[in-house]
Amino acid sequence: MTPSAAPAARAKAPGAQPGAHAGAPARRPVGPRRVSGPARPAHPERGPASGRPASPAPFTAHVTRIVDHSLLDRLIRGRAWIGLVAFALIGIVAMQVTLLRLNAGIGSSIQRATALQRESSLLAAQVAGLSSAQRVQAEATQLGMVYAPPGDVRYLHASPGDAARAASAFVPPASGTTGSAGATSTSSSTSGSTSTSTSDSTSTSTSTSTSPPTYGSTTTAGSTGSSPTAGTLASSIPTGTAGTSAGGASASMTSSSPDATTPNGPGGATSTGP
Amino acid sequence: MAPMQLRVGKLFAVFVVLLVVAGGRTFYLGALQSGRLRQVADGQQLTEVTVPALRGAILDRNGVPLAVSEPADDISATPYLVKDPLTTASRISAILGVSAATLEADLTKPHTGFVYLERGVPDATAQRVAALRIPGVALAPVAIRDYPDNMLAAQVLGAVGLDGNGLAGLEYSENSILSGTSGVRREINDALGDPISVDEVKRARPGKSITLTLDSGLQNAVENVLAGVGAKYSPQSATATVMDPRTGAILAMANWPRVNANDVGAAPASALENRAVEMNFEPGSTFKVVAIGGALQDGLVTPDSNFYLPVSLQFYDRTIHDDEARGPEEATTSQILAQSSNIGAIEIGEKLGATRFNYWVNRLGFGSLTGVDLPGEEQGIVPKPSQYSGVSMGNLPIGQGESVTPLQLTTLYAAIANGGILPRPHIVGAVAGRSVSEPAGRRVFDPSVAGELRNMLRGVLAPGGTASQVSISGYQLAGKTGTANEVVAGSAAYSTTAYDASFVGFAPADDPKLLVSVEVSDPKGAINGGQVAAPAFGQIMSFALPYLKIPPG
Repeated sequence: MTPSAAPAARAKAPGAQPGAHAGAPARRPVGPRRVSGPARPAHPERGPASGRPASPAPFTAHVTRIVDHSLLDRLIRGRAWIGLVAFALIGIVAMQVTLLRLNAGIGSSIQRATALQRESSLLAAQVAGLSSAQRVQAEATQLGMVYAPPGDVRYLHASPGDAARAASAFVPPASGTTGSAGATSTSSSTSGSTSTSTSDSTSTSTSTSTSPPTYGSTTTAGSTGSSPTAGTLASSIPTGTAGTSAGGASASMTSSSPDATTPNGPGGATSTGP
Repeated sequence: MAPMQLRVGKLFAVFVVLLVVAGGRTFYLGALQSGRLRQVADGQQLTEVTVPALRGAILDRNGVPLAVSEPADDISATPYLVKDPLTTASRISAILGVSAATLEADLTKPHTGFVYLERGVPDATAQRVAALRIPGVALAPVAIRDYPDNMLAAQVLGAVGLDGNGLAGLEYSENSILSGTSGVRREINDALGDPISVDEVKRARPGKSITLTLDSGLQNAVENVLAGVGAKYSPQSATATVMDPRTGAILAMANWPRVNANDVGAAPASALENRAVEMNFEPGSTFKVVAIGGALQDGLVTPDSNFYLPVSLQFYDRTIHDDEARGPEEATTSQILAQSSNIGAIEIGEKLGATRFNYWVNRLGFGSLTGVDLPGEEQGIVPKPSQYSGVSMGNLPIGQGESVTPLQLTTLYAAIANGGILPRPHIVGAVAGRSVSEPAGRRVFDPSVAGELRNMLRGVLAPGGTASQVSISGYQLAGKTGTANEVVAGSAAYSTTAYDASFVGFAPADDPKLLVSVEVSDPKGAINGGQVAAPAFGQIMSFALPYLKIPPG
């Protein structure tokens, strides 16, 4: 503002008293001086003049209050926040990496499972080839095994006491005899009926002998009940008993002793001794 | 403006321009080209692999695998991606054993983006091809069927096509059980092509295994016996069935000529037939038990009823006589059956009459399916009484003029053996380890009549019977021989040179546990069932009785 303009401005100043001396300075307005400071908080409990009860504060007011909360303010402005954010970021990255690694792990596990399944199938096919009846019979024939003529196989009739008598005649296998742990021998006898062999995964033997036989041992390998094809080999059966059966429907042998034959043991077929 | 500020301003402008260009490019790629680029990326990074389901195994009654599936690969190529077809062909040829020229022709095939180089390659071999890492050559996993015994029960088991579906035999009829469901796997690969994520979108479900009533050891023995018959008599074909007459379970079902199940393509179509169920033939004398059994059940005759047997019978222009020349004589029903007298069987048939005879033919299962769980079963050809001619009752009671399947005949004798119940033959014993309930049979003879028939059939293998040369030490056998003229193909006339020889029998005769039927078509050198089929029956029984631990009786 230029100096020449000042009087005019003064003349137009609000609050100038009429008749006052033009050269006298303008008087300040009379009244209490305004004091700066925060606005006084509202008093919701006072309510409107109508006297109705105060309505609850709106949601935004609550949010605003949280945002303006001094604790949050201190937290955000504090150094701890930096650490927290850094930790969270690192955590997220680590989690992503872990997830990726987990995915890759699952993927490789699935692939490995597939590979193992394929390998298992291949092995199953090999087992199937090895357990082929034709192959086993050919092998047995090469070993000189033959099926016994039907008339040479003798079947014993079991009486009720035979099973107990046979069981009592068993003695524990001597050391050095072949056999496998868990191989069992059971006897089934039916009054008046021909002895039969029935037992899951065991060779069942019902035999009689004039002298108590020393029960050698039986080695069973997955034989099944009346299955004539599962591999079973009874060995070291001394006097009076015989009966071997080779797996896969192959040949087996009987003792030529007339009073001591057994039709049992998976494999069934018997032959006179070599 | 100061020069410094000018330079900063220019630099800023350059960056702004670059930013705009980058933003524009991003918009172009991310928005305008996004669909196409996503497809390309998927093609490079995302792979969907079909995981083939392994087909269920077929096992014999003892769990011995008769058919198994093993992993393999189809090897294919994208010709336009193969840079050097000649070298590629020679490298792959050395592994696959396919001629390089053939492979080269495939690899240079024009106007195609896909060719199979070889299908169903065993996994080990396929992996050698994969190890070559030839661009444009790919492997797709599949499963191939393997029959470990090659020849064993090939016609019964059937075959599987390249797509893994059953085409014949049990592979066909049990396809829904054996075949599983293929799976889908989605792989995300990294830049090197290694998977970083594998997701099984659909899990492969393998097929269920089925366990048959067949016994592979017995089956092998029966096939060996038939091979012996084939070598000795050079027949057109032969078939044999072993059955447990008490249940109808088929223990062996063999056909000759044998076929390699792993190479059915090399066999003639006729050899692929399971003749036990797919062949109709005129049974001859084995059919005489129909008339005799019916007459016994109807109370018209007894085993001891006497019949006067003239030398021949005249039916219009046809003269019928017995196989062996003889004078007029009397014979009992038992003797008629034991000696297989045509005259006697016709007289018993006439005693029954056409209507009752036809009733018994149908009642005993002829002219209808046995219901066996094998595909392609024939039901035979049985004329109705309204179709009978004046000579029909001179033909039909002796097993000529009607056609039956070997299995129908086997089932009839099973009814005689088990006390009169016609069983429903079956070959599937269990599915996925769970036993299949045995189908119920139906009574056709009283137990007493069945017992009489069993006794009468023992005479066939006794001295004076038509199969007296067959015996097994310690065992009582019973059965019936059959010899019938074959019908000349394409005509209604009987051949005078081609015969069907058959034998059906069981043991032990008092309490039968095993039944064997043998049918030989057009044997050379001998024609009678007693000469050709009965010895085969004896050989099979000699093996089977001790093998199955059936005590003498």
